[in-house]
Amino acid sequence: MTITETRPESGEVAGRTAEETAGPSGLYRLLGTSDHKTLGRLYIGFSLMLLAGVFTMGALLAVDAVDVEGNPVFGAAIGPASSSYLLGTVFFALWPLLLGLATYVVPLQVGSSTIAYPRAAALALWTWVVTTGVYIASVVFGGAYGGADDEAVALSNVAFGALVLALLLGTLCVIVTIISLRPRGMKLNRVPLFSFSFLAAGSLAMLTWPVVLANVALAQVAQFGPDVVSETYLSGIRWALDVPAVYIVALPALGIIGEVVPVFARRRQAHYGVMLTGLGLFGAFSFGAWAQPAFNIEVQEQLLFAFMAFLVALPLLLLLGGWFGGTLRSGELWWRSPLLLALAAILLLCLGVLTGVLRVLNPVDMAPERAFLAQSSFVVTATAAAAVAGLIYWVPKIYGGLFAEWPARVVVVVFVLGSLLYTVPTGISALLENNLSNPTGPLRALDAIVIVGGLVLTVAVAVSVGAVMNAARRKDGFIPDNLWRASTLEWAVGCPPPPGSFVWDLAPVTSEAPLVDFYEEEEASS
Amino acid sequence: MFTTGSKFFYGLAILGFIAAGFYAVLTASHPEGIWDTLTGEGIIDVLIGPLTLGYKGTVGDQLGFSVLVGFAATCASLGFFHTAFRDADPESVAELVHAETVPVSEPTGLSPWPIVGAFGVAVLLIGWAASEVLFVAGMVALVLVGIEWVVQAWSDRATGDPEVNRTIRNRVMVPIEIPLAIVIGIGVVVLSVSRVLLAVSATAAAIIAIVVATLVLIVAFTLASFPKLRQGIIASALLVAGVIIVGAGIGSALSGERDFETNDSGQEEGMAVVDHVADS
Repeated sequence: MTITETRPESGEVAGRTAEETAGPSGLYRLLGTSDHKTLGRLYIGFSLMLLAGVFTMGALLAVDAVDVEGNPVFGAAIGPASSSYLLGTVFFALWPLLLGLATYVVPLQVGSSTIAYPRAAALALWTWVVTTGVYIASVVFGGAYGGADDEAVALSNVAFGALVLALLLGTLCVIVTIISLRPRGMKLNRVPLFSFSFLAAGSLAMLTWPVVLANVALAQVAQFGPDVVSETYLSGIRWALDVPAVYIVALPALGIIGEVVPVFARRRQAHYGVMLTGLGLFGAFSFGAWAQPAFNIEVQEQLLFAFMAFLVALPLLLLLGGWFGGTLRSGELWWRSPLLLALAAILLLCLGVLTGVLRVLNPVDMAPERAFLAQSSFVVTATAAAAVAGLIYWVPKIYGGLFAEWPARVVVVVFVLGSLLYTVPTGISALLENNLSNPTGPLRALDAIVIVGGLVLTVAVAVSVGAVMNAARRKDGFIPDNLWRASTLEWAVGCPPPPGSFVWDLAPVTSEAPLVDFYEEEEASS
Repeated sequence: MFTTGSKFFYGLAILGFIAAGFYAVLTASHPEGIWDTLTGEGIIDVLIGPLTLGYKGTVGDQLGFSVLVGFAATCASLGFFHTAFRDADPESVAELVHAETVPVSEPTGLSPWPIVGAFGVAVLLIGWAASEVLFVAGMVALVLVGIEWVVQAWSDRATGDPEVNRTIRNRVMVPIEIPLAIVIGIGVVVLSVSRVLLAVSATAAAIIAIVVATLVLIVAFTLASFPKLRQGIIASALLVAGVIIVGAGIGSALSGERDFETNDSGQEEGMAVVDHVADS
């Protein structure tokens, strides 16, 4: 089998988009684009800035918890700050970051020159950007869930609803790309792991987040004032950030790990079907729209909730078996930064799932709110670590330059250190709060460590942004199309891909690793 | 027979019907318990309900059942349309354009409407929370964006030549766009500046009105004096000015109008002067 039919001479414009061959340049090209590569880069840039902001906010919230000399940062505004932080982690930063990677990478992985509904993808991006701005402005004027100002709280509510709608639209474009724009021979069981995980996570998001939207709409239509809107957040929205629905955001992170591990173990992914099944089951068990306190106030104390929190650990074990028992054990490990960060992400996610299990089984009387925060922090930092691993891995493809290894290693060290300082003390404080006679002192000490962790994570994200900008600016001369000798189709095109990406016809795909097939066939014939 | 997209929608439709059936059975009131009902005489009633879409037999929560059946029916319809129109079917596409091989699909070009639509959404949201005028303005903006979007999508596929497509689009839309843009532009500036003038004190309003009028005069004079000025500079200057005016208008609308002094009859002082002049 060959991966390509006759590759055209350079300058061939067969698959070029209309905007790539003609039209104005400059700002209008940026604002009017529907090219998935530009849209993906914009998502990544904006969401990384917001991710740094979210981690800073987490540190500032910990400052209030420590309560240094009675000088809180947020004071009476702790409620809106806390709700904005929690919503910000998933809806303002992490999902957009993953969506940005997916918008850029998924069409290339499935051999398509474009994303499905490209203008809808552009609408989704800009609506997300604009509504994020409106939400932040509303918070400044006394809004957000828990805020006191009528109009500002209403504005936060509708801005958040529109933001979720925009993310769903962007997600839909990626899902339809995977379903409809695959090349010949690429059946669903041959779709790359990142694309498959995004298909599963996106489908779950399409099923779950409209319920959040319905609650937002109910709060808005009822017009009972800020108290009722804030109550709606607690009973009708926060479940989307809790077990099991929060794992939706971790699913694409598992997909990224699934891309990185076999490449840096230099062997095919063992038991590919099992890995797909693991990802699918992890997604299925992440469905959490049923676990709303609004309709069942005791849902978190019921057996089904505990069972589901426990059940989600099983597909994770399946995936861990595939990576550690199969690919990593028998591969020749290449200890580059993406692999190190991927392993850190696995560790953090395992701790998150473990915290979830301990939380619902509660053998040691964990403090509920702190246990929720600990689990949320583990899942958030695991997903962020995997997303940054993916960014380092795909940087040559996205920006046409290299993420130099030494700053990448700095990112790894700082990220892992920050994540552990940010998450583990919260977990320990959840264990201690109800089990010490006088927990105030130890809890304040642990919260102080969380402040440091949040700031270190902010630095890690800032260093990542700097390294990415450097890679985009520097252009390291010729970069091989398949720098890492990876197996998926995005590595069959240039770094970055030429206009139109696949300007030649792809040969039918016959396995989940078309490029490895190609190399093996070439080696056999030579 | 079944095309790519149709399989997805048929699958969802089947899932929706199955879910509706389960939901109808599980939410039906069972005084003797669901298990006894399903193994006893009540089984006929409980099964006939969802099978006849509630026409006969028993359906539990009718609202939830209707939502699920509606979802399934919508998906089935979408699936049918995909089958009928042969989505993503290479042979059908080739046949349509009388080609022997499947043509390369031409991805879409630049379009300002997604970002304009996003700002329309923002205006709508702010209006929803704070001001009816802004809500209506946002709605109007979104309707206009929708029309422009549809026309551009149609013209993009009119012929295989992007330049010809652009000409076709301009021939249809420019006679409508230019007068409409002028009306909307004037309307937005008048509305925004009026909100600012109503929000500040009477003295400040007079000063702002004079300054804005002078600025308009200076800018127009400058533009007329330098006819070779680059279009990009003019567009950027107008964009910045537009953002400042609209931003100031929205800010002023949110902060509300100043307190107007009224005379004993409840009439505003300015209006009383106007009445007095009219009487005399």
